[in-house]
Amino acid sequence: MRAVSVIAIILVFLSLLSLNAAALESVDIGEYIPDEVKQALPDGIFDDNANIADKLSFSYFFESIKKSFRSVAGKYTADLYTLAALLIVSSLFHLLSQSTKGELEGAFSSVSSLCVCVYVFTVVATLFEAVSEYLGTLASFATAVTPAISIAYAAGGNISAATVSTSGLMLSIAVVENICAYLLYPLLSLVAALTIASSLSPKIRIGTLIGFLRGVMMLGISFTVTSISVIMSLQHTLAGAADTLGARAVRFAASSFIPIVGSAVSEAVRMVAGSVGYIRASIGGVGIAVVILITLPVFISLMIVRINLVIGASLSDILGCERETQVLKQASSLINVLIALVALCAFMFVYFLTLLLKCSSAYG
Amino acid sequence: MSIIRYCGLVIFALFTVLLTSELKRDIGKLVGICAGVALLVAAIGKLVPVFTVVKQLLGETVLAGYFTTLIKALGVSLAVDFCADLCKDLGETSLAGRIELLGKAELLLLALPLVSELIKLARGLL
Repeated sequence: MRAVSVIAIILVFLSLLSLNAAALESVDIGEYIPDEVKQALPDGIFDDNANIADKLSFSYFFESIKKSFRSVAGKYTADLYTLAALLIVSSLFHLLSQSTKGELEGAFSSVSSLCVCVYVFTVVATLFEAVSEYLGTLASFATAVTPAISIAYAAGGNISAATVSTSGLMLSIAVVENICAYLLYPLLSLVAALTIASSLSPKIRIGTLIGFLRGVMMLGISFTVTSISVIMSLQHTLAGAADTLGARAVRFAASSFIPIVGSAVSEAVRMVAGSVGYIRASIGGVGIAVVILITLPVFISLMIVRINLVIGASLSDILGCERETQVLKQASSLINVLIALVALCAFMFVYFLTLLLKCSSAYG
Repeated sequence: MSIIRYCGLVIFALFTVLLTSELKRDIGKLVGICAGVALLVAAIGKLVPVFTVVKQLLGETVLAGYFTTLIKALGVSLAVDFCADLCKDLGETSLAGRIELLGKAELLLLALPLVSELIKLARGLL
């Protein structure tokens, strides 16, 4: 009877270990990564014996930033020169039109600022599309990699943390998608449309309204992301503590009640958990690298365009083109909101992956 | 013709207007109008090479379209302003107002493609 119970206990533990091994084989996040990002990842990163820490070094990330910068800088530098040329031509024409009087000069000024407005908002509209595409790619990657994260947690005995993280991540993706789709994006588009309207005539003064809407958007984005991150970290900590308690109870039971091989079984489980920890860190590390590589082109594009608009506004101010200066300043502040949106969404997903990376195994 | 000669021409026209105004007011005004037209033509003649060079520099870039619009708008503004001033000098303020209205309508017509483009952009964003 005693022998039967010992054999039964051993079989239970062996079956628990085999469940972990089977789960780990199905973790392959490579298939969920966009092709262009996969090409940018270091060679051999998905190999079995890959040293993730060496491959994802500082030099690799600096090289990635340089490559992204070189790929987008040329196009937007040409845009800066075009904008500068347009402003210089516009100021020359303003100089000539000053010989006309009153409303005719104002009418000519409207035509001139419309030219600048069309050019600037064509660039802004392409950036809107790029940000929309970026958010879709990020959400798809996060949705696709969630099962892998869940498996990585469960394999290390963090069952509660797996449940909490998976549900938290799915909820965050849904909240961010819905907020972006139904609130932020329409609000941002409305601000852009109002900015275009205000550039048509100096009598249309909606600067205060635009500033208010921008403030509401920034507050909404910051509050949403901060709340989600705080709640996630709290839930993660509590779930991790519960998992650790449970796992240590199992180890204690194993070492106490299984005769002769009890402590060996307990140490074996701990060793397997340690290897799971390495795999978890690898998944987290690669996931963070992928999020950064997805974010870099859009983020650098937005930064360069913002710098172009600020330089353009300064040049326009120097040349005495007041309405063009206002158009460029408002476009620049719109880009600020887009930058904040992109940065905070990337931060949120990197934070989730960092939680995975930092989470120690329950058995350890 | 150098700028000094143009200044000389203007001073000559001014004296002529003053002298002829004493004899017959209408002739004085006609002399003034002729001098104004001559100076406007001279100014356009000076600007044409500038615009030609700038247009060549811009080539087939996206700026070329905006440049053409701006030149047309400037031309309309200057021409209408000149005509309006002439009308006011001759005491026809209502005529001056009408030509200014026509000038604004023409500028609006020039701005129409730009406004349509902006409305399309705004609609696309919404």
